Amino acid sequence: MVKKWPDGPLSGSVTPRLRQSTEVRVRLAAMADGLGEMVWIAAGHGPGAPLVSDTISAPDQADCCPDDEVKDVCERGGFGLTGGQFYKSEEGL
Amino acid sequence: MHRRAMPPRADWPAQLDRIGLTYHSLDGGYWREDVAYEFTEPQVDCLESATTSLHRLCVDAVERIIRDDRFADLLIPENWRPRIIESWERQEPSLYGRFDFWYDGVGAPKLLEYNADTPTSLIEAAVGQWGWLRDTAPEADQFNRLHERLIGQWGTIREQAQTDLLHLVCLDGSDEDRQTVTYLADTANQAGWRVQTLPIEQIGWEPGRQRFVDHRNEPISVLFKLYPWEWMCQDAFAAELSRSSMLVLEPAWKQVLSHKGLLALLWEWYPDHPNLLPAFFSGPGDCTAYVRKPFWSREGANISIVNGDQVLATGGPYDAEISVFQQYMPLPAFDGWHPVIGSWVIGDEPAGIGIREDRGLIHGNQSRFVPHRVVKDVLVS
Repeated sequence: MVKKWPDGPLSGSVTPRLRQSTEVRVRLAAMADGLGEMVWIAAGHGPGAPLVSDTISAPDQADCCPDDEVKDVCERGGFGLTGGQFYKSEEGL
Repeated sequence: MHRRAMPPRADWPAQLDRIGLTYHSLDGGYWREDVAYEFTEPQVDCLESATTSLHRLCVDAVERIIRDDRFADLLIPENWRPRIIESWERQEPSLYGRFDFWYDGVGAPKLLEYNADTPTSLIEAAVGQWGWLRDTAPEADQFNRLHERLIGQWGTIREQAQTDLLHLVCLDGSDEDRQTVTYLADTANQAGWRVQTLPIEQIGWEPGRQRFVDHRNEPISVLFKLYPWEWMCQDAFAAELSRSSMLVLEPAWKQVLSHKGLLALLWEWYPDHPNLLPAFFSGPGDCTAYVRKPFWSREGANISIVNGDQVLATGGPYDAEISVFQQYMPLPAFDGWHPVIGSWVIGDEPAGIGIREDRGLIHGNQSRFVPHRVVKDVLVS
C-alpha cells in the first residue's frame, strides 16, 4: 500500500481517464450459479483442473480433521457464530 | 444528474443470473432497470475527486487514531489494538471500500458513511450495470473500472504475499455474500491466484501448529473474509486470530474506518472539509436536525433521524445507545425516490459508482440498485 497524505479537497479538475470496463468476465460466478446452491469453488490448482466444485458438509458434521502426519488436533466452528446472531438468511452485509 | 425511465431488457433476469447476480428479485425486486441515473462528465469528476480526497483523509485518520491513541473513543477493546497497530505498521494491503455519498448533482458530495470492511453490492456495480450499459446504450459511458481495478489490486497484493493460494470466506447463509465471494475469487484467479472459497464456519484451527486451515486442512496464509472484524473479534477464534500471522483482507486497520465513529473524528480534524457533514460523539452539537447512527450497524438498522419534534427510526439488532451524531441532510428526491451514491475505492484509487435508491429517507436492505450512465448532455424531460 502506498501511503497517501491528506491534502484536503483536490484543486482543479480531475485528469480524464477511461471509465469503461473493457473486459468483463465472471467465469467462476457463472459456473457456480449453474452448479446450484451450496457449491464452493476452487480454481487454478492445476493445469488440468481449472475449476473444482466442492460440496462442503455442515460445520457440525465436520468438527474434526482427518489424520495427518502429526495427528494434530483441529478445532472448527470458531468463526461465524457472532455474525449468525445478527444475520438473516439472504440478507447482505 | 437525472433519473430517466428506460425500457428494461426482456431477458434481464437471465442476464443477471448468468453473471452470478442471482438475488436480483429479492424483497419484491432488488435490481431495477426500468429507470437509470444519468450523470454528466463533470459530475462524475466531482464524485471521483471527492472519493480521492476522502480516501486520503481516511488513510491519515488511521495514522492519527494510532498516534493519538483514540481507540477508546471508538470503544475498540484494548486487546485488539495491537493487531490493528501491527497491521498498519506492516502496511498490510487493502482490496476495496465503498463510500456512501449524499449527492444531488449540484452540491458537493457529502460522506454519509464509509463501508471500509465488508462492502457489498459489488457484482451489480462491477458487472451487472456494465452488461446493462452494453445492451442498452453501448455508445454511452459509465463510471466503472471496478472489474479491471479489482484484478489489478489482486495482482498487487499477490506480489506482497508469500503464497499464491488465496482463501475467501463468508457466512454460509446468504446467496448474495456467496456470489460476491465467488466473483471476487474470479477476479483474484484472473490475477494469478489459486483460489479456494468456503464458509467461514468451516475454518479450522490447529493449536499444535498454531495455524488456521481450510476444510481440507490446507493452511490458510491469506484470507479474504466477507465478515466484519467486529464480529471476528467476538468469535471463539478471536484469541487465535489475534496471535496469528495470517494475512487478512480487509486488514485489521480497516476496523477504525468501518466504524461510524470515524465520522466524528474526521469532522474534528477537518471541520471545513466540503465532503464532510458535522458529526459528534457526545450529542448533536449545534445541529437542529441530526441522524443518530450506532457505532456498529449495517443496512440502515437502528438509525434515527431527529428533525425538531419529528423522529424517524428503524429497528434492528444493534446497540443504538452507543452512537455517533451526524448533521441531517435530507437525501435528494428524484421522482419520489432518494438515491445514495456508493463510490468505490480499489486499492488507493476511485474505481466507479453504484446507486441504490429508496422511497424512504433511511436506506436499508431493501433499497434498490439502479444502473447509471454518463452522458454528454442531460436532457430534462
